[in-house]
Amino acid sequence: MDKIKILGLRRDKATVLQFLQKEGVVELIDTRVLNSESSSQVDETEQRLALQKKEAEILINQTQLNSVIQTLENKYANVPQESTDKKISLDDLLMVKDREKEFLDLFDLLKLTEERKIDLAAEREQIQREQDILNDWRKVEIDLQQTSTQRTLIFLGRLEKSAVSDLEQELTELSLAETAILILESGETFDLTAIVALREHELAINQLLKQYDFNYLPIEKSGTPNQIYRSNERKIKKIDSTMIELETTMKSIAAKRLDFYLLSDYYTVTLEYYSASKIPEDSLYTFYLEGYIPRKDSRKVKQNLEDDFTVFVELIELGPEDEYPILLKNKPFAGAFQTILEMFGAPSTKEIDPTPGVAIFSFLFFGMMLSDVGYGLLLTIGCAYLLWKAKIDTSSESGQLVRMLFLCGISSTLWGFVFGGFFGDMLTVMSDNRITFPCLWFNPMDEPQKLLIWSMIFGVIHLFGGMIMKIINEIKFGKISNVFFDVIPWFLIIIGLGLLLGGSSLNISTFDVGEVGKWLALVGAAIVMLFAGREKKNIFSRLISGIGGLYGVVNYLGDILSYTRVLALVLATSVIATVINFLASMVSGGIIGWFFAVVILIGGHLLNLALSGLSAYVHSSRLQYVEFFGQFFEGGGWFFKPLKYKTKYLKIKKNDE
Amino acid sequence: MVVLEKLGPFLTLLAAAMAAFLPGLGSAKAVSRLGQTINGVLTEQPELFGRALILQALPGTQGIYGLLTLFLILTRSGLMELGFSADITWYQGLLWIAASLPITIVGYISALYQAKVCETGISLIAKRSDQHARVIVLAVVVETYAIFALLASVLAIFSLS
Repeated sequence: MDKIKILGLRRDKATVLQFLQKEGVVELIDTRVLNSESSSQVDETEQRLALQKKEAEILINQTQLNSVIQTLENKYANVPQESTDKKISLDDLLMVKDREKEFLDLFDLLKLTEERKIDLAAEREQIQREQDILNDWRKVEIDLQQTSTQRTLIFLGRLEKSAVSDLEQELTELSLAETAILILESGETFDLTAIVALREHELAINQLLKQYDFNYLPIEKSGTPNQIYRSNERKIKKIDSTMIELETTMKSIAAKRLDFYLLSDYYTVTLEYYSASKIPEDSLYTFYLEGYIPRKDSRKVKQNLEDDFTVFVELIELGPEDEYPILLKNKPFAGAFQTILEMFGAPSTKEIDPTPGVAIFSFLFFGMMLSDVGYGLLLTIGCAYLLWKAKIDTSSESGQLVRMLFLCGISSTLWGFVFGGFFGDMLTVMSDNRITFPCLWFNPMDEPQKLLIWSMIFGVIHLFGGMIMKIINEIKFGKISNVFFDVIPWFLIIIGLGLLLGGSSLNISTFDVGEVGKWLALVGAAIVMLFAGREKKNIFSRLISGIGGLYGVVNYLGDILSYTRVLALVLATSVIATVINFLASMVSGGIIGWFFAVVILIGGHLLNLALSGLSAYVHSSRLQYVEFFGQFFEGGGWFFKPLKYKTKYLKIKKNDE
Repeated sequence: MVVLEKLGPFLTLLAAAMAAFLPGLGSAKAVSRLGQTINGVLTEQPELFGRALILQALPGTQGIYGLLTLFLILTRSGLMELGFSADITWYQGLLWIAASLPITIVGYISALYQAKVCETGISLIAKRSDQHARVIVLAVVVETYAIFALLASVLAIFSLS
């Protein structure tokens, strides 16, 4: 990694930044905070404000745009697109600037159409509600606007059948007998009535009607109910045909959704450019910026910059003692597992890249935990399809995951052969014990204790791997003494204790393995005790630190025991598979029986693959993070994030495509 | 004492049933609580559904471990093949109960505790959806103890049969 310093003319600033964004290999350093006192050479508040305004505008537009894209993708996913080519050239992307108006018009049309659709739908609902009420009144031949005469008021509405006579009676009792109840239409449980009353009785009548749950007709339009009903029907028809028109418009817009992708990506790129353009320090005529650049690109970029622009470029080679972002460089196999490290965080610039170790052991442990030929093949084939047939973008986050799972699938298949698992014991169960899938080593279901021991042995190997990383780091840091006092003794103690406890099973007769183990462990413990507190001057506090250092044996014990999860997950996968096979074998027999058996087998095994695959992934990652990294990882770095054209929906073609 | 002598199969079945129902209950509680939290988050950010679903599924594994223990106890004790005629003494039955205790208790409780981690994890990914993977790892650290409990029960079951 190099540091690049660029000093240029202010009028070139935009083009230089665009050039850097296109190259995509420079991470700009925000120097504004570092020397904020000296940055007031030029008063550019107005310019800054204009930029901020434009930025905010774009942000708002983009948010709306993205939600529109979401709607289009949800509701109109089936509408064929005019163009499905998701790869664009950089020029096409930058050309959006000239076509922005056209895109925004389309966008406005879409918003307008959406709004009209919502309004019309609301209107239609309103009319429909009116229709539901009017439907009962259609035979009544009254003008609904006729609600009063000079001396009387007419109330139209629905009244419960049983209430009519009660109401009449109460009217006479209250000496409102001048009121007439006209039954216009008789329904099953209610009557449609017109109640004609004197104007001066309005208040009393209204109160009374409320008591009797009189249901007022809420429509006051001119014409008989039937006429209104008819005209409403015509309105609905018109709305429906307009809706269809709007829908076609929407579909024609949806067909152009690639344009929205393009615009949204253009905004993303522009925003990135804006935030970058705030970084350089401007003086009246010049600008100045600093950045990190990978060494392999630095000379070429410097050359190009100096050829094309009036700039002064300086490169500074950074050494291990400097701080700079981390760009991991790995071979394809290890690179596939890089995502596990990226999730955890970047190593510091001084230490070794742990990815190769992570790769080897993740491959090993994932495969061991899933360990089934059937599941492994399914996983491998599924990922292979995504990688080579569906051509998933391997530089994206999900693409990297797929690439890793592809390898993990292979590993699971291999371990499946080792432990003899093919969809659990499917062959045995379905063939009534005639065929047994062979295992190359042993079956964990029969000898779980053996796998318990072996998972811990693999764990010790993993931990040793971590300790070797620690040795490499200490050598890089130039602290060789730490290797002899902090790492080597633990090798001796762990191997020694291992031999002492399990050495008898090795069947070596030439010497007493247990005795050798005992002495190895003792020598290791002695070194730890004497040197763990070597920084302390006082002899007593040094001894106490040494005894404290020996407490580390508990940590190692915990770490090693943690690997027994491998056994538990192996058993979990195969027992669940066994249960599924067992259920399927219970229903099998006859055509219907076999049909259900197949359904159970497919559904069950897919579910188990998903669950066990997830466990295998997270638990093998955890073994890396806690047990493996715990041995040596310092961390504290950050990953290299260059200024570049980073798009969300479309992919930018490389120059040679 | 005649009754006691015939209790063997019952105690064995009890051991298996406990292993299935208590962790299952814990998982159900945990998953339901997470589901409620997720519903709240989805009102604002429906696109998080896939990620949230994985988090919801995590404390569901304890129920599966319980089921797995049930299956192992039933097959290893011979209850599944022989049924009523299984020849199990009452103190063997008690041993099966003892074997099922680790996953029964730890499975139940760890599901609830794991749900708490997942719950706060969901509010984390609601704000920063790129942290999804780390939330899973943090939740899985809790699950480790359910796995150890399962391992303890499974080893006990294997050593009894």
